[in-house]
Amino acid sequence: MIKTELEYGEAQRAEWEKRIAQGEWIARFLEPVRELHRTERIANVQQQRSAGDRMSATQLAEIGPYLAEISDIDIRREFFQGRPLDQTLQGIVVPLVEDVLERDPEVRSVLNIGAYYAFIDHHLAQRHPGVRFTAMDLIPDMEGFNAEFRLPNLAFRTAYPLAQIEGGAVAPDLAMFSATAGEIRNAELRRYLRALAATCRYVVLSEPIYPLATGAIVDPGSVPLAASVPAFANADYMPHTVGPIAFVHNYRAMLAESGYRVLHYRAYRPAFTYLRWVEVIAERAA
Amino acid sequence: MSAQKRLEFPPWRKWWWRARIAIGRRINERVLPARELQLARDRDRVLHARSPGDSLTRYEMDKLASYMLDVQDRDIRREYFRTTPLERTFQGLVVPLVEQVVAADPSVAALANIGGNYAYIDSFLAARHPRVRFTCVDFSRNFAEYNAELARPNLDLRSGYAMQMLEAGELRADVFLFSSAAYEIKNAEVRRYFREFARAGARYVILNEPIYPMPGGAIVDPQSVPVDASVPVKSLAGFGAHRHGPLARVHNYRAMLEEAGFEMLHYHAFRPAFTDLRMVNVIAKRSGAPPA
Repeated sequence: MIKTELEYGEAQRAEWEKRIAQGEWIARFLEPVRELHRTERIANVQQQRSAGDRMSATQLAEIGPYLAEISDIDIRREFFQGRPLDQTLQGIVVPLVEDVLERDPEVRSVLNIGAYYAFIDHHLAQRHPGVRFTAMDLIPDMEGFNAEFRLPNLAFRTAYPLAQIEGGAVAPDLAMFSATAGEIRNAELRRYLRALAATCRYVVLSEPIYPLATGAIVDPGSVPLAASVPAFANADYMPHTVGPIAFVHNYRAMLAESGYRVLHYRAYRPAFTYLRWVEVIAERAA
Repeated sequence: MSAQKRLEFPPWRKWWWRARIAIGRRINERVLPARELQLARDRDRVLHARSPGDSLTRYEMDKLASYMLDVQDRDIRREYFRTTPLERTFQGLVVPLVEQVVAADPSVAALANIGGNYAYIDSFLAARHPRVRFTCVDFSRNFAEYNAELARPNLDLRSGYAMQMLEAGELRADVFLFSSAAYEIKNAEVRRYFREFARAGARYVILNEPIYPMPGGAIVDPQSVPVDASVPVKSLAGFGAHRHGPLARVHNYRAMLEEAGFEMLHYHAFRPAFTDLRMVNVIAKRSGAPPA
């Protein structure tokens, strides 16, 4: 016996389709505005909960579990296995770091701030065995999370990088941010750069420029030094809690403020994505 | 004594507020269903990207185990079944289906329910059919303890991922059952379950699944859905500590079962008299020899 008695007819279906079409049309105008407001609200709340120019104890306590919650090691592993490195957003930083290593053989140590899944660090450490690499992040058990990447010249550290740099626990010749600085608030990022300027000769940045909810692209060079633009918040349909906000910063102005001279600056769209990107290599001014 | 009222909210502002709310409601009648539909589709896309295969990832298993703990509401369920006649409950709709199979085929000796949660129905059926061995599986780590009051000598309460049990040969039954469970499972995984059921000795599959309406009220006929492209219809809200509830889908159960080598004995997509929610009831029998 096969019976379908759903009590729902074609006329009801047509009426429903009309309503949805009208709703989608109105939503084209409403949704970006709503999303823009949402992003700004989340940014405001995060600023209020921070300790000025560093993360508060509460935020530090929260971010470890958040990073553990979004750990998707299988997906990342398959992602890197499935395409050439130069076709990944993470891979963009590789030639930038290698450019510095080639230019200045005195660079013996590299710190990756916010390394998370250390595929890139492993790749660089393999190619430069004479350089000491440290992959640092707030995820609990960085060592275990990256167990597949163990190398003699690659260390994994679970720590708040700003505290480590200011406390003198790490003093790299080169510090890199790869899809990390964009998630750090304005005042905190500038504090990072001031702290690095005391000992670190080079800073390399490889960061996304997320579009605003309206689709607008913000030129990092047009952003005021002290007022970065909150551009993107994790969508509320993601399975995990809302993570950090992504900002567009004026990296050039921030680096100059801390006494760095920009050697390379490029804001562009990589060929394999619609996401815009910014690359920076900066050297501490004499 | 003086009574003063200086709320600085004159009637015209109240009128203006009412007008804005009324206009907003009219707009929302159009926009909200469109937004909720988009949410369901976005969630489906994200879940698919994070779980591309035909089984759950380790991450999803962990999430489900904690989610099932989070939504445990035994007192509410106990009270619900105590005060509502069984035939007027969604779960109760499965009882006549199981009894029809057990009555028609006395060789049925084992039944497994995937996604049992509160195992009231399993316990009820186990009491009525003492010669049949019932197994009820769900993700919560305290599954047996949670259902301790429903224990029966012929009811086995197992915690874990049923797919892994099937693959390991640890779960076999003559009848496999989904009751308000398959609609939360992604397309490729449901189809794999049906294949695994056949390999695990299933002669019958019974389904008792809701057909959630789409935002705005549209009803999807399961038979109109492509076998490999189920329709995400509703993102159930997560009002507890969890962020979202399940994503409800409409599958073409008939096509999926036929694909796995089962034939329909009974198929009824309908609106039960006690609710506006549509349901689909299925009894399918394996056609031919079991797969190797």
